[in-house]
Amino acid sequence: MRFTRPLAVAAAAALAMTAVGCASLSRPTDSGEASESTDWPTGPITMIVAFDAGGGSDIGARLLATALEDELGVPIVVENRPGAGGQVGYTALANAAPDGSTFGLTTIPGLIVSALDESRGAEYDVDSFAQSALQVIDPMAIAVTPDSDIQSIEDLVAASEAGELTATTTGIGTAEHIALLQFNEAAGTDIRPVHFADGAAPATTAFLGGNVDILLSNVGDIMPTLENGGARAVGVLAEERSIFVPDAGTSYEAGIEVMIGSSRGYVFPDGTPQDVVDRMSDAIGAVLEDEAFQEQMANAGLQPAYMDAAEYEAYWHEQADSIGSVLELIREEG
Amino acid sequence: MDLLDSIGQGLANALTLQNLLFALVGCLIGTALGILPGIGSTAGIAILLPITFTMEPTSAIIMLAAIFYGTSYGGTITSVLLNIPGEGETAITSLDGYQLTKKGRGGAALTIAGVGSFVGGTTATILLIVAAQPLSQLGLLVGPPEFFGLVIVGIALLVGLVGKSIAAGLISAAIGMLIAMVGIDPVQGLPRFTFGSAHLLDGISIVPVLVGVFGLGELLHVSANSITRPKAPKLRELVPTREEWRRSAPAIGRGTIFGSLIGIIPGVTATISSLIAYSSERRMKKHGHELGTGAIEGVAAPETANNAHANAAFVPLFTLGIPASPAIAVLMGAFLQNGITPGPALFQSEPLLVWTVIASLLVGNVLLLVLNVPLVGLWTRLLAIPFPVLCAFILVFIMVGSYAVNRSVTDLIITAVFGVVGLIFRRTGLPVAPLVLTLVLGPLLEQTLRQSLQISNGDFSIFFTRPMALVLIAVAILIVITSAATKRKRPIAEVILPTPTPTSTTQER
Amino acid sequence: MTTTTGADASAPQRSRLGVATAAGIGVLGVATVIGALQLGLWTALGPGPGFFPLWLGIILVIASVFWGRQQWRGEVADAVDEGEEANGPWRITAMVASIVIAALLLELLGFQLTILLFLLFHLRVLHRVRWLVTVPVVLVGSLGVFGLFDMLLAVHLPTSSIPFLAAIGL
Repeated sequence: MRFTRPLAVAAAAALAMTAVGCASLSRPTDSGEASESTDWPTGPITMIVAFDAGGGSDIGARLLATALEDELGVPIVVENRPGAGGQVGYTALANAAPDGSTFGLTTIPGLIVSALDESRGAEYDVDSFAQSALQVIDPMAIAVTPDSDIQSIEDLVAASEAGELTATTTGIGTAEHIALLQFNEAAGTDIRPVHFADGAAPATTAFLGGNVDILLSNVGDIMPTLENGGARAVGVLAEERSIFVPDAGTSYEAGIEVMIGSSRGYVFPDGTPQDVVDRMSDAIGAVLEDEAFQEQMANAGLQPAYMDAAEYEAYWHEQADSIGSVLELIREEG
Repeated sequence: MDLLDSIGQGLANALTLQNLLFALVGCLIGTALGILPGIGSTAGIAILLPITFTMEPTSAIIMLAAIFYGTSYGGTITSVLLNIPGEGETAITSLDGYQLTKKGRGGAALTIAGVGSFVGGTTATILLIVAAQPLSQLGLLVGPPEFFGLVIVGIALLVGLVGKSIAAGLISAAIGMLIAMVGIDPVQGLPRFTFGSAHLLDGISIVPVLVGVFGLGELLHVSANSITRPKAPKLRELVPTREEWRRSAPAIGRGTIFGSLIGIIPGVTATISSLIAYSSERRMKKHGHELGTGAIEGVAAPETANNAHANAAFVPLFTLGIPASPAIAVLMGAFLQNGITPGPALFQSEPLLVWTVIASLLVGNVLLLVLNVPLVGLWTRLLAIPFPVLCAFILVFIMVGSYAVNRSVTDLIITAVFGVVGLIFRRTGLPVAPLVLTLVLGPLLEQTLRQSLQISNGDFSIFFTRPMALVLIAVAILIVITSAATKRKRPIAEVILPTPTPTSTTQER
Repeated sequence: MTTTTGADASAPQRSRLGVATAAGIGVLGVATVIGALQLGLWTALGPGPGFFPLWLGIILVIASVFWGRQQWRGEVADAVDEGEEANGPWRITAMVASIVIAALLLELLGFQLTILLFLLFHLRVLHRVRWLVTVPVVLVGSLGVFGLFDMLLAVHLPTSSIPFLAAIGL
C-alpha cells in the first residue's frame, strides 16, 4: 500500500532523495485510454476528496476506499483537493473525464450551496454530477450546557420565545447555518447565529466558555463533547433518532419538519456511463453491509445510510430545492 | 502522591522498548516532515493515520504525537539555514535565524533553538501534568471578546516591529492584512477581492506567501557569486558561545511563558505564540534594536514558544476534548479510531494510556534534543553544497512546498508574485516582520470582532464589561502609549533602528 | 558597486525603485479604497465587509506618500543597490519567468518533465554548471523528488495530461 512505510519515510528523508532514484510508476490520469465500460474497472480509480486529509469527511472516505479496493479488485487512489469549502475539489471532479476512472466524495448541503450561490462563481451546477451512492447521513444535533433547563426541542422553542438565544455555526452558508435558518423558519423562533469560520474547535470553546447558548454540530463531530459531559444533546434534525444519541428527540417528533445534516455520498462526473455508476453503487452497497466495516464507521462516529443511485439522485434534487429557498433567506438578511 | 504514582507508571510504560521505539520513529518522521516542504504536521499525521489502525493504541498515539511536536524542530532547520519557513510558526525565526547563518552562527542558532524547544516543551508538559484542570478553565475564559483583546495586543506589539521608518512599517503591516482580507468575508459571507477565482475564496494560503517573501525573495535578491551567501560553519562554530547562552536564557524563559499560556487556548495556533514571543523580544530595551540583524534572542524566543505551545495544546485535548489546532484534531481522530474519546473522563477510564502519552511527551522532548543537537553539524553541511546546485534544489523545494499545500498551480503563481514582493521589500528597505504578523492576525481580528458583536447583538460594551477583555485591551493601549513615548524620548539614532539588510551585516564583519 | 547603508547613509541618494514602489503602493491603496466602498462599510451588527479594507487603503495611501517622500529625498537608505552582489534585472526576470512557465506547464507535462526542464535551464543556462554535475542533480531533482513525495509520502505531484507521456510514467 501507499502509506505503509514509516521507517522508509524517515530513512529516505535522512538520505535525501538520492535513495529513491528514478523509480517511477504510472498513475491513472483523466485522459488514459477510455476503457470499455463493460470491462470496468480495468485500472486504478481516483477518488477525489474535496477536504483536508484527516477530517471527518476524509476519514469516512478513506475507510470506504480501502474496502472498495477489495470489493472491486483495483487500487483506489484518494486525492485530497481541499479548498473553498470543497469547491476546488468539486470543480476538479466535475471537469474530470467521464470514463469511470474518477469519482469523488460530495457532501450535502456543502456542494449544493456552492453550486446555487451565484456569488461563488462555481463552474458546475447541481446537474454536473452522476449520483452513485450515499454512504452517510450525519444529522445535525442541537446541544446545550448540561445544567441548562432546556430538555427537549419543545423546551428550546419555548426558551427562544422567552429570551434571546445564540447558536454556533461553522460559517455563513454552512450546514449549521442553513440548519439554524430552516429551524427558525419552521419553528417560528429567532435564534441568532454566531459564525466560527475557523471550524468546530473555536465554536466548541465559545460554547463551553458560556459565550454561546447552543452548540450546533453534526452528531459525528459533537460526540466527543457529549461524552465528556461538556454538552447535552436535546435533539437531532432528522426523521429518525440517531444511534449515537438515542435519547435526543427528533425535530419531526416535535412537529418541526426540518431534516438536515451532512450527507456524504459518491458521484461521478456527469456523462459517465450509467452501468459504471450502478456498478460502483452496488459495490458501495456491498461494503456497507459488511459488519466489520460498519463497526469501523461507528468508531468514527458515522452512521451508515445507504442509498442506491436512483434514490440518491432523487434525494439530491429534493435537497437542492429546499436549500435553494434558504439561500434566498441568507441573501435577504445580507 | 497519587499524581506522582500515575506519572511514574506512565513514565515506566512510555519507556518500554516498544513505546520508546515508536516515539523515536515519530520524532524522526516529524523532523523529516518539518524539513521537507509542503507537508506540515497535520498532513503528516493524516497520511500516517491509516497505518496505525493495526498498532496498539498507546504506541500509535505516542508515535503520532511525536510527529506533531517533532515537525517544528525540523521546520527550524530550513528557516534558519535556507530562509525557507515551511510553516507559519517558524517564519518569524528566519528573520534572525538566517541573518545568523550569514554571520556563520547558523549552527549555534540551531543548537539554541533545540535547547529552547526542549525547555519550552518540557515545561509545558510539566504544567500539563500538575495543573491541566485549572489551566483548561483558564483557556475557556477566552471567548471571542477576549480573543479579540489578545489579537489587539498582538497588533499593538507591531509598533515594536516597525523599525526605522513608521511609514514603511505601516505599509508592510497594511499589505499583510490586505492579503489576509482576500476570500469569503466573515461578515456577510460574500467573496472579497477574489477577482472571480474559486481558488481565492479560501483566501491566500499563508505558506505560499511566506515561502515567496522569504525563500524566493532571497534567491532573487542575491546572486550566485555574492559574498553575503552563507557558508557552512566550521565544527567549533556550532557550539554557542557563553555570551550567546547568557543572552538566550531569558528569551527562552519568556518564550516558555508565552507558548505555554497561549497554547492552552483552543483554536489559537503556534504561529501566534511565536509571533508574540518575537515581538516582545523586539520591545526589550537591552537588545530589542538588534533583532532582525541576527540576534540570538530572535531565534530562542519564538522557537521556545512554538514548542511550548505544541505541548500545551494537549491541555484542552485531555481536559475538554477540544482539539486546539488542525494537527491536534487529526491526532484526536487517532484516539477516536481506537475507540478512545479524549477528555476528562479519560483520566478515569484509561488512566494508564493518558499518563503514558503525557509521559511520552517528556520522553519525546528528550529524544528530539538528543537527536537534533548532535545532528546540527550535519544539517549545516547543506550549506557546503555549491550554490547553483543548492539554489536549484531550494527552487524545486519551494515549488513542491507551495504546490502541495492545496495541490494548486495558483499557489505557485502566488509564490512567484510574493517572491517579487519579497525582493522589492529587500531592495527598498521595507520591513518584513509587520507583514507576517498582520497576515496571521488579520483574519482573527475581523472574525473575533464579528463574533463578539453577534454574541452581544451589536452592543460594543461587550469589550468593556468583561474583565479579561478589558484588561487585554488596556494592555494593548498601554503598549502603544509607552512605545510612542520611549521613541520620542530616545535620541533619534536609537529610534532609527538598523534595518535587517544583508549588506549591513556583511559590513559589520 | 554602490552601497548605501552604514557609513554612506549620511549621503542621501534618491532611490528610484523606492519611489516607484511607493507610487505602486499608493495606487494599490486607492484601488483598495474603491473596492472597499463597494463592499459595504457598516451593518446592523457592526463593521461591514468593507470596513477594514477601507482603513487599510487609507493607511496605504497616506503611508506611501510619506515613505515615497523619504525615498525621493534618500532619507532612508536602501537595503542594497544594484551592484555585483545583487542579481540584475535580467536574471531576476529569467528566474521569475521560469517559475511561472514551470507552473503553467506542470499539469500539462507533469512534474517530472517540467522540473527536468526547469533544472536544466537553471543549472546550464543561468549558472553554467558542468554537465557532470548537472545531469545527476537534474535527475535527482525531478525523478527523485517525485519518487520521494509521490510514492513514499503520498503527496501526489501532477503527472502529465498528455496520454503518451502519462503512459510511460511521467
